[in-house]
Amino acid sequence: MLGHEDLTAALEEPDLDRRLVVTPLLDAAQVGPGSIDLRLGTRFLLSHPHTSPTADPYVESTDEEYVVPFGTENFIQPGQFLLGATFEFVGMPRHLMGQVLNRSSWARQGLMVATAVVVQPGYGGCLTLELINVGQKPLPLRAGARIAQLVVWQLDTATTVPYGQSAKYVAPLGPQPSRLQAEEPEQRRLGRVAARLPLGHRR
Amino acid sequence: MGRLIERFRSERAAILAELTVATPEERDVLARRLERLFIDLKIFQPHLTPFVRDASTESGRLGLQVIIESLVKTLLPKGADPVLHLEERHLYATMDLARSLRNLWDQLPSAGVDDTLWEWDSGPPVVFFVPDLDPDNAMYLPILAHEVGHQAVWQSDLGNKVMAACAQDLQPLFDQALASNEGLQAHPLRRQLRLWVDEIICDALAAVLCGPGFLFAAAAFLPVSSTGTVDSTHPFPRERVRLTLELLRDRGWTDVLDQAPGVIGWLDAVSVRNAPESAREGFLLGALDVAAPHVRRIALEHLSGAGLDPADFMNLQDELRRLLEKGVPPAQVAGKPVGHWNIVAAAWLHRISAGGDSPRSVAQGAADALTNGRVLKAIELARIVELWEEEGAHDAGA
Repeated sequence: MLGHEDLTAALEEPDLDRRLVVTPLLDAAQVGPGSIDLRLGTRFLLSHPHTSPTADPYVESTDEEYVVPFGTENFIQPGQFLLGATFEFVGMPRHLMGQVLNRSSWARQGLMVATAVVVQPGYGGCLTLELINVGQKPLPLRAGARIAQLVVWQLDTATTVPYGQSAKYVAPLGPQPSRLQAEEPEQRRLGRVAARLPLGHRR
Repeated sequence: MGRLIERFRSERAAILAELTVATPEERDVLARRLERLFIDLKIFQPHLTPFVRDASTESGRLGLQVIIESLVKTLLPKGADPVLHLEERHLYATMDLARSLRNLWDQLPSAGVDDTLWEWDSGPPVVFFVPDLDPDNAMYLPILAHEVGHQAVWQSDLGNKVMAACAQDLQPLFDQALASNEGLQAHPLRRQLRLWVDEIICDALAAVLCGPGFLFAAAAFLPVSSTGTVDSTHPFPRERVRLTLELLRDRGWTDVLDQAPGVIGWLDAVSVRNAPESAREGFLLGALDVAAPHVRRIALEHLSGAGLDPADFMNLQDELRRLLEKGVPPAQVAGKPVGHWNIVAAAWLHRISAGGDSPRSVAQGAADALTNGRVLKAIELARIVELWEEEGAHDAGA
């Protein structure tokens, strides 16, 4: 795992293929002893409540995007779920991978910022944050506030199959809705396998 | 909001059309209509800008707003209260709402509005029209700089300054043209020249401000290969390209232009001047040659050092290009925010290089949605970094 000196060196690496990109970095103090603080971006995706009894996650998202001006507040209500994104564009070289974690001060207020926490080697883009208020009071989320932290590991061997162009989320500049629909062929295949298993058709 | 602006434009156009054929009595009626329109403008203007700013922010069009504010600050000494409006036609334009009425007012002596009413606390309301089918095209932003140049020409009387500076040298050309057997008349000829001069002033302002980004945007936006028409309000596209290339080389951009030899070779070839086919054309081309050095000098004076610096760009461009190749919005280099015209120029060179350095690569560059998105995002982020640093310095000084 990379500490302050290694993180700084990775951020300043002249070779862009080996550089850890976190840009723009408003404040050098965002690079902490063992992680880099990430700020909340300005774009959000809001799911509308469904009126039908079931919702198919494999259907393309109809989440509504809205923008909160940088430096202003966006309230998240108790129990509410929002997709946000980091202010910073994060680029992970092939020999590093990362994990997005809550910041303790926010977690104590009841805010969870990330559940899909792994940043794959080769990923580039603003990181989508799954924001959930599990506390009892509305929380003001100010666009630009330091809200999450990124810890980084070095792989023993740089991967030869980095997160790339064929991936589901390529170089996003804001929050991305779920793209589970891209996995629909696999779902169909699972269904076919189930149907061919003994007693499968009776399930 | 769009309806308000359209109604304003159509009522103004109607008054203008009727003015040319109006009897004295009818002119009184027109004067009242003009007063009414002016009062409407005074009433809705305070609500216009906050509304449009909010709408722009909500739509995430912050990068475009950053550019507009910067253009106002850099180009317009009297300021402007900018209103962003999506235009149905595929063009960029600006319109000073108050001035467009003032021009009519001056033709209607019976119209009476106190001169102080023409003053605007936050600058005159100026509408910035951008194409509604492609409002977020960052590669075309230098074209917007040219359009804001028209407001600068008016606010600082740049056209008259150029005409005054070259009046003596123009006179023999006028005499020669009027003596030809084409029946040319002094006033229309002078008026057309003035329009052409205004256009090349705006080109010069945009080229000084945006560097090669303006050349490439113009090459994508204008029909540069067409010959143009001699009675147009705009100079031939090839003349505009030629003058822009000259200005950029004069300003020290040769090494940068040489990085796109295919595109520059094409632009050099299309901008070769043919022998004039008429006395009018001969006059206009000769007059452009006379005016061009004065245009450059006056554009530079107007911008007073605000132009894009080739040396600064050269220091940044390798890093900017590498970031763009990686899909990273190039907002910050070595901890410092990148100037927006540096970003746009680097994006053009990146796209031209990636597209094979051909005329086609220019068109493809303008249409590349991914690069446009990254550039606009970078402009937005760089401005935030800049403001963050300014506020930090303020805290440190407090």
